[in-house]
Amino acid sequence: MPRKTASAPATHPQTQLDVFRSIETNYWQLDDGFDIAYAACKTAAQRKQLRDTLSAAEDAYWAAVADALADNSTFVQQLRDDLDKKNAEVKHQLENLKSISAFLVAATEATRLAAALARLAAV
Amino acid sequence: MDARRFLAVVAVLVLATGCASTRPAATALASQGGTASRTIEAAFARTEADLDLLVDRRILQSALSGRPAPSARAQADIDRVQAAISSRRRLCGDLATLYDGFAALAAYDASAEVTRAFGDVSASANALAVAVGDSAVVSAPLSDLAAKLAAATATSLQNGRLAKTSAVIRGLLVEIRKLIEQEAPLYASVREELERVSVATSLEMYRSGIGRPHPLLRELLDAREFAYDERQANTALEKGAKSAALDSAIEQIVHRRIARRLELERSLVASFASVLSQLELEHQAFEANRPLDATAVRERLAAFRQIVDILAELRQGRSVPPETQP
Repeated sequence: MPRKTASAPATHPQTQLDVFRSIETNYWQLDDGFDIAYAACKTAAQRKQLRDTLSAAEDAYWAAVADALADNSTFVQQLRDDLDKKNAEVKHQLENLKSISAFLVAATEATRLAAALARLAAV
Repeated sequence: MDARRFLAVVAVLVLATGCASTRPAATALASQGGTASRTIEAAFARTEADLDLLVDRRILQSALSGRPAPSARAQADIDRVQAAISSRRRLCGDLATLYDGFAALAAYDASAEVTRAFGDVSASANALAVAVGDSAVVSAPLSDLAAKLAAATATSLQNGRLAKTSAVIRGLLVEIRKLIEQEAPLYASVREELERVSVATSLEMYRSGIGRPHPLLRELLDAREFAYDERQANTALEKGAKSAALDSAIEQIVHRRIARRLELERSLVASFASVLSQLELEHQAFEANRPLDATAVRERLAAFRQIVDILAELRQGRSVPPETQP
């Protein structure tokens, strides 16, 4: 079982996704219908109201996206820290493996030379 | 210990530890994981770059259409979104780097290294033995078996490290996949907004007399029968009897192409999580010493890359027949 490396991402229940979808739909519908509505406006006040409404819808859309992504920023940072740590560990593992290989060879050499010396001593 | 007992012990140890190396499977897994992470990283990088242009496009669009320019608040939030996308891009880059490390761990041939070094040592030990007058110190069969034992031990150590590293990567994959699954509707929405603004601004510019639809018209004209002439097309668009009809058709075609592009963008975002999920299964198989289902990952990666390539073509203005789309 792998070790859990970071706390889970912030959960966004379906209702939150639904709220986001409403904000998104509102902005896109207003934007898509803007040209027709703008042409139909009879006074400067009506045009200003339409522009302000679209501006508010656009603000709400980007705020919703930014806030939802920001909810997970700590989690993303934790994941990145974990990845950095694991990257260092894997590098260390490789160095360690190389040194173990060297150790195996050195140990065998030492054993062998010891055996040679023991034989020489026995002669 | 006499030679026969030594031989028996070595043979048992070699059999116990010298299981087939898992290095080729680890190399394949590292390659798949690296490709998947780098492709997702590139998709985030594309969104990050497009967000750079978004506010400029919106300012131009507002000047030409009467829409409000993005407010200071919206611009600040777009900056926050860009920073968030950037951190996810870097996250995928870090994952790709981890796969590079895994590949290096798999590429190192510990067994061969030990065997090679062992041969060198054996030669020098024999030379020493001969020099001191004892040529029988290291007999050839004994030396061979000892080398096999050392190589098998090295293989076992390496396999253990590969399995451990795979489990660590798998744990991180699960977390990254969960994050991407949860945020996928947001990524798709941002991509759609980027495409909407891009096409709306382009059409406003075209209506204002900036830009000519030559790439689109050139593509529609059958080059086997007709030669495209930009000057002739300009006259038709400006003063031709059917200039209004042409403009209307061009707008419809552009909207149709955008709709197809958006569908592909949604498929791309959805495929992030499915590729990561398949990689998790491959890591599980690798750790359990089961054969990898290379076809499953390869197919998903191929579909994934195909979407990216088609999107790149569409971004360059070339149309792609729907039947070639994944």
